[in-house]
Amino acid sequence: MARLILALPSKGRLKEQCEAWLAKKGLVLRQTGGERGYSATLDGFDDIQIRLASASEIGKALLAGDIHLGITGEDIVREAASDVDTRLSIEARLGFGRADVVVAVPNGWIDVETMADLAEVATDMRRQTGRRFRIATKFTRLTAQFMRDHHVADHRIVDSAGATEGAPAAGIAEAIVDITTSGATLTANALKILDDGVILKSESCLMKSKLADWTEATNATAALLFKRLDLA
Amino acid sequence: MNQETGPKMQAAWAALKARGGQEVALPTLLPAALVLELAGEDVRPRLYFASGPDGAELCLRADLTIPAALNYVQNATADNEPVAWVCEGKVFRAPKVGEDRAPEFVQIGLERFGDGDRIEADVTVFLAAWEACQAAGEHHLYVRLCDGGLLPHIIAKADLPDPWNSALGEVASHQSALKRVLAQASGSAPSRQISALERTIAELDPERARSTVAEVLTLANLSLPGNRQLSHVADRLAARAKRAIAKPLAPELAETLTKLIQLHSQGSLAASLDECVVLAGKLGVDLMDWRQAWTLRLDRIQQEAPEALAHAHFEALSPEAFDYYDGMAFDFAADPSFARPVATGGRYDTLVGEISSGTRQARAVGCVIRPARFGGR
Repeated sequence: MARLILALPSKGRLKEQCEAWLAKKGLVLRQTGGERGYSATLDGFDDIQIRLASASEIGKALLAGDIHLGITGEDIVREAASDVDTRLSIEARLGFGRADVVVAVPNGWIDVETMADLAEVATDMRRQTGRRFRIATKFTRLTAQFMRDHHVADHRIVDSAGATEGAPAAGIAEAIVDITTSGATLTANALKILDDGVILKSESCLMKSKLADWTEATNATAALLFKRLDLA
Repeated sequence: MNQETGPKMQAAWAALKARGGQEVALPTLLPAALVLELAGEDVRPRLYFASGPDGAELCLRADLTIPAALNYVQNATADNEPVAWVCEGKVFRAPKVGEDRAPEFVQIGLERFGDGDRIEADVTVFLAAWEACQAAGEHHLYVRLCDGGLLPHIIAKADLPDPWNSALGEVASHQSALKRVLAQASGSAPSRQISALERTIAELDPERARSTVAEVLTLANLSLPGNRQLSHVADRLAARAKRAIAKPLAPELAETLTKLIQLHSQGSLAASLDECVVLAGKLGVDLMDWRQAWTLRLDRIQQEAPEALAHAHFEALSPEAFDYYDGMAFDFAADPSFARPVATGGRYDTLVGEISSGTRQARAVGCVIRPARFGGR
């Protein structure tokens, strides 16, 4: 890795927000190979190789040390590994891509407001039915850790690939852990967030991989970039 | 027999087999949902998952007990059909972050199902594990004995006032939950504020409470999708409110329960067991039969392996890692912290029922030995 590699989201609203954030700092991103190309240049930084990738790919590459810098969601890296802080550092929180990872239950559960209530319901359910309380989520690692921290013993995580908010109504799970921005989707599905059920307040961040091949040259380039981004 | 772990393991394996049992090969790949249902989510970070061609989610076995119980469910022709199996093979557990440990290692074990004489079976399994360790040269081991059935029994029979009798009874087999409810019961945890609705519900009979909750849900346009019924919500709302307004447990009752939960004596086993009897007596529970059963177990062990009890202590509550042990349980370790036991075992009478969704029942007791930990490793 002779040049510093910076990975940015390749499409969607996140890409637009990244471009706008860079533009605000006077940096223009030029996509090579047209709108659908996966590489780009950053004006004034010829020694930076820009890679355009999905948010999850950027997270994986940062954790593996395959790239030096990248912009992705904190929820993505925290879900992908348990030792995130030894593998990367968060250099800047960018104020967009905000989303909370939350624990939600049916709004008719008027006896459940906190994680302590959830722990009791889980124990009751196992005692009464012989089966564990099920939580549907795609955030299995974050959920398992949060449940351990709150002593929720008798639960089981059901891996959910999509439409997690529909899992209680479909009888697939009793509760869910999902990402939410406004809470509107949860409300529409008759779910409520527990008072102490926010697992992570996530947003898009500029992250620096600690495992990447950092040389004198890439360090110097990163220092210049951070200065332009007012992060130095 | 796996040769790669050397003569100590072979000696341990021979000693284990000498206690009797048919050698069986247990499944390596298990349905992941079954393992997580039985062992809980705490094991998820340690499991290796695989997908079947039909999309079924599988995992590599992380112990020998669950595959043995599954094997029993699939092959036993009647409840409590007696079998004794010795088994050997690799189990797979992902190391924790920063943990310097192989992700796969060999275990050897003895699993007994359907024994009519529980005490004799407990002793046989304990001695098998002990003799296997001795044969491997593990002569300086600490022994921890526990009883996963003790606290649930005491709390079920104790003269405890409402609502604490049911609240404690519901969590009696869970160490952390029991401590949490006991903290509420003794008034040491801050009591929560309850709403006017909860106070009302607490004072109604169950039927009226349920209809009131139904009315509230309808008026507020709230939903109860899924498996949790209106009766669960109403009953728990009432129980929670009753706990919040109930008088705390008398200090002497709370203190007795706390002493039982914390009972962890390094002194004589007999003194620890007698202390349980005395403490249970203060709660109105006669433990003489229980004490007699332990006397028989310990006498039998004393006859055949007196050195096993030289560095032994008793704890009233099983550590949470022993989730499915519901009776006598034990572990042996070179270090008194018991952080890396070389052998663990115990009674798990409810596991076969859980695996088979209640279609098959069997008394069961077993042990496993981890040869890779021989020599204090």
